Amino acid sequence: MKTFKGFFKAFILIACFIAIFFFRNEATGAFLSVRGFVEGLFNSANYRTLADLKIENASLKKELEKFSVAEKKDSSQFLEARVYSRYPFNDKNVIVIDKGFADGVTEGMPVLAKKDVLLGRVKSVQRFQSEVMTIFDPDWKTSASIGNAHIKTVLNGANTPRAELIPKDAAVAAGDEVVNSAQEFPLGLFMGTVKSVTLDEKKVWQIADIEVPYAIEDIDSVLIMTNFK
Amino acid sequence: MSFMKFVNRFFIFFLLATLAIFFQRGGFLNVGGVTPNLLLIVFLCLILAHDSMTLIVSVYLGLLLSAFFVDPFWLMELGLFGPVVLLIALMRKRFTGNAFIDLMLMTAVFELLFYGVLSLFHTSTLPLFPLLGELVYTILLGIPLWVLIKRIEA
Repeated sequence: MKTFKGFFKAFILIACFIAIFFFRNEATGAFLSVRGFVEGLFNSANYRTLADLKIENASLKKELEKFSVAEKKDSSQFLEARVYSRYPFNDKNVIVIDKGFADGVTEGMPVLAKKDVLLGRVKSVQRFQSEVMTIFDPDWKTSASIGNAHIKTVLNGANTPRAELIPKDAAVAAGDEVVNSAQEFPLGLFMGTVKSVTLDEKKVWQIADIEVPYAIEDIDSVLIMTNFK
Repeated sequence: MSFMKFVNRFFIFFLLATLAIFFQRGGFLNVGGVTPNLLLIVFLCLILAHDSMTLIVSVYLGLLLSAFFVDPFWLMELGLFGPVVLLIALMRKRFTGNAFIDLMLMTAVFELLFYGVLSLFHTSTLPLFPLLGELVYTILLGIPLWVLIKRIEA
């Protein structure tokens, strides 16, 4: 009887594995629902609203600048995706979203936290899921520019992203906007603002810590720019 | 260990490991960008509670199998996780014998080995602050979780 119970449990486990394999897509939806419920226990509704409002504010500011500078026809196409999970360890900062090549996603597509706010790029793609490298990943290195003078810099990914190789005599101050100047993403995409500026160890270059208008753990959904390239 | 006891313990620790990876992937206990290594805590508690390599390997293989379907992007990291944990399990007798001190030492050894080997596959330098943060945070959570698991097992 006891042996039968043991085999029965093992059979149930194998059946669960097979079910998860064949119903991966549905399991993703269920996982997102459960995660949303658990997040509701840990995060108060007010905190979630504040986090959403901050990032929406940054996005709307950029939209307003576009309208006030010139009338520009925006032909970008976006695909909204939900964040399925995050890398479980601390040496990288990548997320997995619930859209893959079946939805038209390909490697290298820009990923935005909100419209006009760059979050990262698609790193690898599977049928219904994609891996996104974010600007918080230590492997992230792209060109950026700071402020109205468009001071060239290199944005290095980290928990607090840093703009490095800023000329020593460049006038960079806290509050200056950091925008993308790398060709693999739309030019001028907002990335964050300068939080503080220091000199590097050899006192040759300036280094700026960048503050972004959101926390990566608060990102529930992203926008994939599907027609950039 | 009888077959039924083995199956019962396998299910308990497999469920704990699945919950641990669920919480880690969801970033629920993330503080300042640092995620605690709950999966490591579960396996270290398994090593401390049951000196059974068969049980450890079975739970790990079950987790790897489910990760193959659910988290295929991080199979390399999860694939490395197992051998490092097994190595620590084999080295268990070389530690002090005090569960709390061993838990801290094993966590430190894991962090060193796991991220050290992972850095061979990454082109950039390791982010030291998050990794040190993970070490401290994991130990802080590991001790009460070990006490809880010990009570469940008793």
